[in-house]
Amino acid sequence: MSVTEPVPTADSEVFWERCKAGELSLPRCRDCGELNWFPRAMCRYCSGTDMEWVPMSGQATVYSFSVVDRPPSPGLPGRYVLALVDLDEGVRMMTHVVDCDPDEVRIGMRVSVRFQPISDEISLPVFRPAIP
Amino acid sequence: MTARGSSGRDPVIIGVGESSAVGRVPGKSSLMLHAEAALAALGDAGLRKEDVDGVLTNESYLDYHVRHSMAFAEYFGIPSTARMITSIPLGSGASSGLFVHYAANAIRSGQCEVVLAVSADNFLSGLARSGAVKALADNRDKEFEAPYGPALPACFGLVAQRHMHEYGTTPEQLASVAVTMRRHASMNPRAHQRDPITVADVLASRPIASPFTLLMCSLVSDGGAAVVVTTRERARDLDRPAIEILGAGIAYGDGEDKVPLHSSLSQARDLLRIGTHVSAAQAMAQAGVTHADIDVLMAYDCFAIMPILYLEAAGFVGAGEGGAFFAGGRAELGGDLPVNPHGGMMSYAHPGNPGGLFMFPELVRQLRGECGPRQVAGAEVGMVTGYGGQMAFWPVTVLGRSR
Repeated sequence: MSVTEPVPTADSEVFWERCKAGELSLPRCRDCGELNWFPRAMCRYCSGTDMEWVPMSGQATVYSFSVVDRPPSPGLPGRYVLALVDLDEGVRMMTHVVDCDPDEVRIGMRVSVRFQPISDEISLPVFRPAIP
Repeated sequence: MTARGSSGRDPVIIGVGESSAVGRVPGKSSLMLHAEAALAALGDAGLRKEDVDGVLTNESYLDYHVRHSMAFAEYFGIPSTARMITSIPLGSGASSGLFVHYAANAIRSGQCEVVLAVSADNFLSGLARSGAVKALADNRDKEFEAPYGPALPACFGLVAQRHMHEYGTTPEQLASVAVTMRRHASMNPRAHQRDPITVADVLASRPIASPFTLLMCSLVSDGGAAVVVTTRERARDLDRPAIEILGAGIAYGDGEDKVPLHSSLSQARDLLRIGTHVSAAQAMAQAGVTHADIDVLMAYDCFAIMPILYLEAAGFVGAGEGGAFFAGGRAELGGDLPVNPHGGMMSYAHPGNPGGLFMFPELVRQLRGECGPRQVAGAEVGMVTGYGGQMAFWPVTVLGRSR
């Protein structure tokens, strides 16, 4: 699906391990309680370093999207939906909306996470329409 | 305009120039396009390269140098007596605004007497269009954005779709931005694309990334531009028309207090709340001007949504009113506030990083009254807006005719 495979860092290896296991987890600062995205070992709000990995519900709302008709590289599908989604826990992620007709995607649409393996190590979180 | 305390060390723009041509300019390296623009700007100022003691460049997408500004200085023959040679990173449409801010600071502080800011690239000839698109897509967060293929038009498509959702902005209004830029370019013999287009033409062009069709996207061009900044005192000796840098503002993210800034698009809190609302106010306050004083707006038009956002954020119109402003012809030459009379990056030229720098030569010439059929009548004060990173930092510059 993609051409650019993420290379996990010390900040993110737990994130990618959890994705591979089918779980969307983010680091939360135990000092101030804020979720940090992108993953990082030091809280960007209070500079605390006592972080815990917290599972997300996987439920989200489409903040915006763009149907791409001209892929930037041969490894991507001919038509796909680039999106920003707001997790119910308040974090915004870039992703794809999948498993639906691109022309059906709308801002405000409810979506749920699923994981798309792109290599032995990496499964990308993508989102599909939520089942009401 | 209120009078400001003036000093002989106030920074002024004394020369502007461009590469011998813009658009498709085959057979010239990126550094040669830099050199052409630099020589033209120095000639316009009545200066020689031996007078230059400060150099600012962008880096290049195509012609990578670990120390880009030094590589240019070596190529062009900047003397060893220089006191500042530095470059601004890739992927920064704001860099042209920052150029002028940094140059002004170097002049005002006494570090430099003559700063040459130059940027160029052979973005069209040196790279297949698909390669240019790929290079720009690689400019995303490599771990949490790049895997999703965030092509540049799609990133700005996210902004436009949100604007349409919140304010009811229409595809026809977006198309009218492209039509305005092309109408201006049709009066500019140097422009890359000059054939007039209609709203229907824009809407019928190939879909790229919703809501954008091909003609709602900026060009891929070759070319370069340069600006020479010196002191008011030196400008007097040169007996050339000096254009004053009246105000400069910068804001990061949405410009709000105590909120962490972002570099990546997906980290922006609100794609429509851009820091320009802060930096425009800073620049106008420093310049001592109000919206009514601004005669021409230079807006970094990488995609059709952005001039709309700048008009709104800088306070020329209310939130959500930018689309109607363009559709009503109010941004055209002869309208309430002409935007990008040279034709912008959508029709004049967009060679990658230098795209925004072309805003300065055009505005300087407008303020000197040199623009012939596309001259904004009586232009005395103009504003330049841009952005850098992914909707991440927002310089605003106000220039004015000496008075």
